[in-house]
Amino acid sequence: MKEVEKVGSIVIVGTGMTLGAHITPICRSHIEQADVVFTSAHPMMEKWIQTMNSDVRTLQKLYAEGKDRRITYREMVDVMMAEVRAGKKVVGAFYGHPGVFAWSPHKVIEQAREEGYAAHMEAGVSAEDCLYADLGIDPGKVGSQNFEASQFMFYQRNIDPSAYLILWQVAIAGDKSIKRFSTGKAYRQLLVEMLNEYYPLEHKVALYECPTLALEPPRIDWIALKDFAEADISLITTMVLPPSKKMLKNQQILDRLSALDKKFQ
Amino acid sequence: MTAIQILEKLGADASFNPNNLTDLNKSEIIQLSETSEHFNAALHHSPAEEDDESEDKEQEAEDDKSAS
Repeated sequence: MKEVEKVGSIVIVGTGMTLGAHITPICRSHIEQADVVFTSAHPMMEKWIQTMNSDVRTLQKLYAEGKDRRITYREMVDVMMAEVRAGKKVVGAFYGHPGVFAWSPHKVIEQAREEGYAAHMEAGVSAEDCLYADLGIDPGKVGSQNFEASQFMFYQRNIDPSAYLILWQVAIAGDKSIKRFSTGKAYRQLLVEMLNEYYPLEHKVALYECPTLALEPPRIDWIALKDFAEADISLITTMVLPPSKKMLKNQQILDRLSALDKKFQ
Repeated sequence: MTAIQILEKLGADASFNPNNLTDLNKSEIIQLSETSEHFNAALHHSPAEEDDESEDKEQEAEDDKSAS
């Protein structure tokens, strides 16, 4: 016999990146029908969400400079779960796609399900989606690699310089403390040195920011890699590195495929 | 229309021309923008030395200790 789910529930939705432009009908519907909505988004986006539901509570107040963000993220899960356990229909509305570079949305769904509550995520329009449109990049053309900048620095990753490389959260690159809102030029210079193993210092890279309001254009600043440490960046800045090398043919596999073609055609 | 409704329309309605905004509309949007608090965009962390699972286990162990 199937176990009956408890009364409370949670749906995690994405608001998209640009106010009014990106929210999907199903995400909006969940927000409108919720008993309580928790948000983590740009303040203007949060004010917009307040027009859709009478009980909207921001999670942004859980952040603080010098506070370990892991604590903040756990607190986000805790406050949402408290209302789920109280039997409410809870929605967590996160900017962009709620499951991309976002710890708490995945964690709260995992926890709610473990405790027997209905929980799921609805997709949203992510910064990556907007980046492809605004920069005119097709990730299918030569491939695309995505890394969180700090993770890229902390671990030995294999970079393919014949594909795009997209580094997220570059403003806090190298932050081992997980407490800062910005690291600084010396940290970014170290990132430049790491990238210089694969890309020349004169290689052009894009600094990209997706606008929250349709009044503003996206930020697309092309700079030389060597100038990145001195560039003006924020928590929403993403670095995009186009390929520095051409794709190399895998002749051995191509020859084997030709042999298969002869055999099976 | 409120400033938020205008911003929603700007995002959602392809025929809505921002050049047609009145000075009052513009000043309301600017005022709303200026009164907005700082936005903390980071929702993800990359631990340098320990993975999420080990942190979770440590946290659970701490919770168990607190409960007992």
